[in-house]
Amino acid sequence: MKKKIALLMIAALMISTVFSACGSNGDNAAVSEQGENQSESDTKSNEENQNAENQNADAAAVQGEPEHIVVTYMYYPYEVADLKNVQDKVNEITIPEINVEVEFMPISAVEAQTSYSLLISSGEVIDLMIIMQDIKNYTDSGQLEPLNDYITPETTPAIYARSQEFPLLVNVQDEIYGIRPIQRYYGSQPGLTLRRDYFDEISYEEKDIYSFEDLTNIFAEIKEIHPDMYPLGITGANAVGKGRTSFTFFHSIALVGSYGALMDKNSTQAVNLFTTEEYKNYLKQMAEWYDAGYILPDAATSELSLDELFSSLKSASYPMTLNPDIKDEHIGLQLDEVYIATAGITYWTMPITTKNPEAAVRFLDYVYGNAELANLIGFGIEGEHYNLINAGEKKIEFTNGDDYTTSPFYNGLNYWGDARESLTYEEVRMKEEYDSYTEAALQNQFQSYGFDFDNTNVFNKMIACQSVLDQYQVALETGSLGSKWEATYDQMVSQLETAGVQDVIDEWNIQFKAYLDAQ
Amino acid sequence: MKLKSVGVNLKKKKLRWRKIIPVYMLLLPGLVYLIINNYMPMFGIVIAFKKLNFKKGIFGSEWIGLDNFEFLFSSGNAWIMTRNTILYNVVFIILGIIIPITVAILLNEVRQKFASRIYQTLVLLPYLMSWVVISYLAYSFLNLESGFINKSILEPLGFKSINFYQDSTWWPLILTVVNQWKSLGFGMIIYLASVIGIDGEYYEAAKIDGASKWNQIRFITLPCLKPTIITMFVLNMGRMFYSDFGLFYQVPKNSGMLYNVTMTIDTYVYNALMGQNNYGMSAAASVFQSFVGFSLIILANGVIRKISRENAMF
Repeated sequence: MKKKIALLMIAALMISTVFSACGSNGDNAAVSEQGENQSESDTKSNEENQNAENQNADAAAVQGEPEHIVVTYMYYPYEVADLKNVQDKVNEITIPEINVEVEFMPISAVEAQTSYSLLISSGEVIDLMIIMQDIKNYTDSGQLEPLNDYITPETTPAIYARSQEFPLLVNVQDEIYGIRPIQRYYGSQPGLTLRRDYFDEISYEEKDIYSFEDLTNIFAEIKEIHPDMYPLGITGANAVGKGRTSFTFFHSIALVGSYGALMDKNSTQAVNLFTTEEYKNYLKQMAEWYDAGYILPDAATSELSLDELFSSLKSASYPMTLNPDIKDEHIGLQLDEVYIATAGITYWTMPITTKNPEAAVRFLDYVYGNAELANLIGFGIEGEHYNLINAGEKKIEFTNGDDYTTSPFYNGLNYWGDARESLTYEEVRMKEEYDSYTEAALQNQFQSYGFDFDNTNVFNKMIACQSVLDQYQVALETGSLGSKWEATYDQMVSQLETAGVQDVIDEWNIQFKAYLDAQ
Repeated sequence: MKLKSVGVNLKKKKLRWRKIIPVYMLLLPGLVYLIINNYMPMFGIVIAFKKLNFKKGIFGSEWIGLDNFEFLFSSGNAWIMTRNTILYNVVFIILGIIIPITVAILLNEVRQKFASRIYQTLVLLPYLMSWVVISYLAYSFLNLESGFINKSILEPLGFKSINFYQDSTWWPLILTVVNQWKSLGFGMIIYLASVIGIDGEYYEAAKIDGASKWNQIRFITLPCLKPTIITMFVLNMGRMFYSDFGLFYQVPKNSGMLYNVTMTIDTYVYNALMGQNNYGMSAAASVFQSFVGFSLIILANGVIRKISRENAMF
């Protein structure tokens, strides 16, 4: 009898451990119920809609409880410790001004790509979500709300005004799904980042644009002085693959998918990048550099980061899009002009799990128009997290002798509102440099700037093409096959053709022509 | 008379019932877990046939039939990845029977218990290591600049270094060796358990009859292992279309030039769908693998039934 009781008790204990795994899933588990919740908050916020027109609206006119919204706070590289304090400070401003209470949801930039989808599908309430990947990943499975109803000159004056200047609104099949933040500077420039001390060592002449010959000479001279070093630190991991091609570090082109390109800013027809003469010459050059010992022998599989390449003295340079943010101890070897071809893939979106869409958009618009709030969220509280050195140039420094690794509030990403008004840490450049860079880029606009491609018809072909590229691209573009690259190159080109690369490019051209005609 | 006998029978059943209930209750948590984790999600197989739209939910989403399976077959790689998956699995199954049994029999012969335990642990150790660690171990052997094979074997002997990660000729051998090194321990333990269970009297009787060691193995050990071998074989057949992701992705460091011999269904799906949130296509890939695996199990079991009925699993 005692044994039986003991057995029963153990059995009961084990059964109860099964239920310990049931957590509380506070919000709806069935995502498809969200539609009903939305109409509830719509009717409630309609009365506040009229009061929210002017951003400096009288606080007294806004009625009702503060509307609560959840906004993702993406951080990189380290978790931002003091987020709660800054959140309270933010609410001190937003509750009286626009009657919105903000709750930040910290999420690491590294995990966001996979976490977002899981959060939405489990019904987690998120009102504003910043994403840094292709928006189609989310719109295809219906995870985002269209924003057409919310972006009007009356409800979102700040966003609307700026969207006339820059292509801020991202459309997918005629519905707005994303709003881009305004960047501190626009454009990019193909180039290599070289350590300044090596450059001074060989005392090469400084030029505006370097050619392949210049680079060969530079590498040769560096290799003579440092025989154990591989002057060009290009690796598969840092420059090639997964939709990128290292060709873009050497020439200004507009990429279509990862295999088509507009070869110059006036062209309106995309071509297969891999069959162009320029690409072939570029592969030839990489193979020559590899054989001459200027590129790491295991460039194709090396996992060293850019910092590690430099600090371990393995490389003197690496391919990096040049921009005004370059550090003082480096020099950028410009390989082509500053240009702009695409409008970037960072945007604010609204998931379908949102509870207060109207309030969320109101908050977002407020951040776009109010530089003080944007800087508070992006940089922290003045005096506590940073000290203002120069108000005119908006230069700041960390407090307590911290640097970016130890400060309790540092976020390497800046996507809050209008970054042209944002503060800058010491190492960063002055506003004029950014503005002149943007100007140069906008003068060199590719026709594809502002165009978004809808890939539904050719999705499977794109996967097939990408898998061909996955096989050959890294080895070819890092020169790792040496002088025997041509046979593999021919294989890649013919396999791309069978995979249907021309169909993808044709589809792009059709959509692009329609877009150009509509301009 | 009838009533009496019925009463007796009922009494017997009640007695048995009382003894059995606690045991079944011990089974209950595991059963509940199995139902929740393995059986309930089965309805999700429909996701593979739909274009999942979160606004409409799983059942409201559009039915697109076999469209999600297309991407598996549309690239020229369908043949290569299927061929690689199946061939490797065939080799692994065969070696996975021969080598662990050999080691188990050998281990059984070791007299000193202490030594036997040590060998057992050492053989099992690789099984417990993560594939990422193993990939770096392999890297230290194979890499061009400082790898053991290149620097300490090939070059001193005067041969040219081999760029293993760009040259696909050696990889079937490398992957087979690495996989056997890692999985040997687990199979060995299973077979060792069976070998130990073989009655010592058989061996004594055989010795008296003058059987050599090899004969003893051939006529006593192996036949006694037959049920275990068949069970393991049928289970492995079910995984014929699965591959060990860590082995085929981590060890070759996902090097493109090796895809001809290292691409399997799992690595292909991972590379193709990474970062795309396309649940439909990912579901399609695993439904494909499960379906084929299931068919193969039924087939293998059917074949074994014909050969030796009592050894079939069901």
